[in-house]
Amino acid sequence: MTTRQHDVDPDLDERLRRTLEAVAATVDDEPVTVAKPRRRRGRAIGAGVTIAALPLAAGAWVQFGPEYVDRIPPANPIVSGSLDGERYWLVDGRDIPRCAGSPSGIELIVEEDNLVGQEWNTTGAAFGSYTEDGCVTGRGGPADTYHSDGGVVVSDGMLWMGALHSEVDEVRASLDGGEGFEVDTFQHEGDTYYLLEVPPGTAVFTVDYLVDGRPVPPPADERREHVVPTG
Amino acid sequence: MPASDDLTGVTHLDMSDSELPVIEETYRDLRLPLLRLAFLLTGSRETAEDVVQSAFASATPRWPEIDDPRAYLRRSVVNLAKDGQRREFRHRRLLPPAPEPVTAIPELDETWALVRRLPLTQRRVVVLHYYEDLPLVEIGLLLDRPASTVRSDLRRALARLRKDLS
Repeated sequence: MTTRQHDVDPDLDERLRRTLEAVAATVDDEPVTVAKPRRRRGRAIGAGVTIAALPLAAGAWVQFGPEYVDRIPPANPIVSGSLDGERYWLVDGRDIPRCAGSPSGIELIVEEDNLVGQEWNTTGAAFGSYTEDGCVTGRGGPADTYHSDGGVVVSDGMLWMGALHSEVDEVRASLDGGEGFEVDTFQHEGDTYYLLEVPPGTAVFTVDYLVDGRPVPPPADERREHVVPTG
Repeated sequence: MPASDDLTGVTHLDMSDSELPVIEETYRDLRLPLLRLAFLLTGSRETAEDVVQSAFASATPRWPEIDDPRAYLRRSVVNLAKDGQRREFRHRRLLPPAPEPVTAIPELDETWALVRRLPLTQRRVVVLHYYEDLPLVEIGLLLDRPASTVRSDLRRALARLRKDLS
């Protein structure tokens, strides 16, 4: 045992030691096995959420259990990558039986928040306002694109994504007031989406949606500028 | 990968026959501990495997000059893990990597998720201090950072973890 040279917190010290030992012990020379799914209850959107998910109105949402993560990486990702060492995948959004005909959108799975055996903790996006049944309509104007974006804090960075109105033909972003750049978009089931990696250390970023080269002004209840949550 | 298979490929290097069994023995003894350390630092088993293989590969031709293989390999793993993270950050991976293990103990999984969310520098200090049980001065030497900076890294990491766990 070494001499501790910082503020002593025996409980936290012990917890960290146990955690790291236990996690390290899962690494062996055998093929990786998948943990048996188990129930984790009591988590809800809000204060108990361990990631900062920032869904906005209309077609952006946070998806929680009660289904369990049974497979990482997920099957058939549309896009996969890593931000600050944290892996993530974009997959087809879930088809909800009562919402037949609504766009299923896309769903973002960040590995650190979706460990095998835990409840799903994902963020999704699709364009359009909601019906009373909670289904996405796919209807709206170009400015409603600002209602259909959202993001997830990953480490000290952020993954920001959105679903575009059909007339929006360009997404431009800038980081910390720097030079603007065009964000890559992709097609999925006939709709257009984008995913922006906001690198760690970024404090503020902006996202503009353009039609024929001209930025679409955001609605009164939305902003083009976003602050990366800290802590 | 069995040690004998992996190390067969180094016999063409310029070293005496007497050194090879020593390297193989070191590989057998240290591969798993180093793999675990690399996993804690990178959060990815796939990357950890690459890191440990690279550490041994770079050490093998220098073996006669290495006084303390354990310390040398640990330093290599720490440095390679950092590079691995940066490499992953720069290049989006389009092929899904292999699944990774969890402890299946909710309290520990929660703590691990928070440790993984720490900035890389803070996570390295936490892992080296609590898993490798290294004093801060030694961590400073390993990371080429002043001990006072390492102490500050650890204090910030613990404050963040304490807040997230409360």
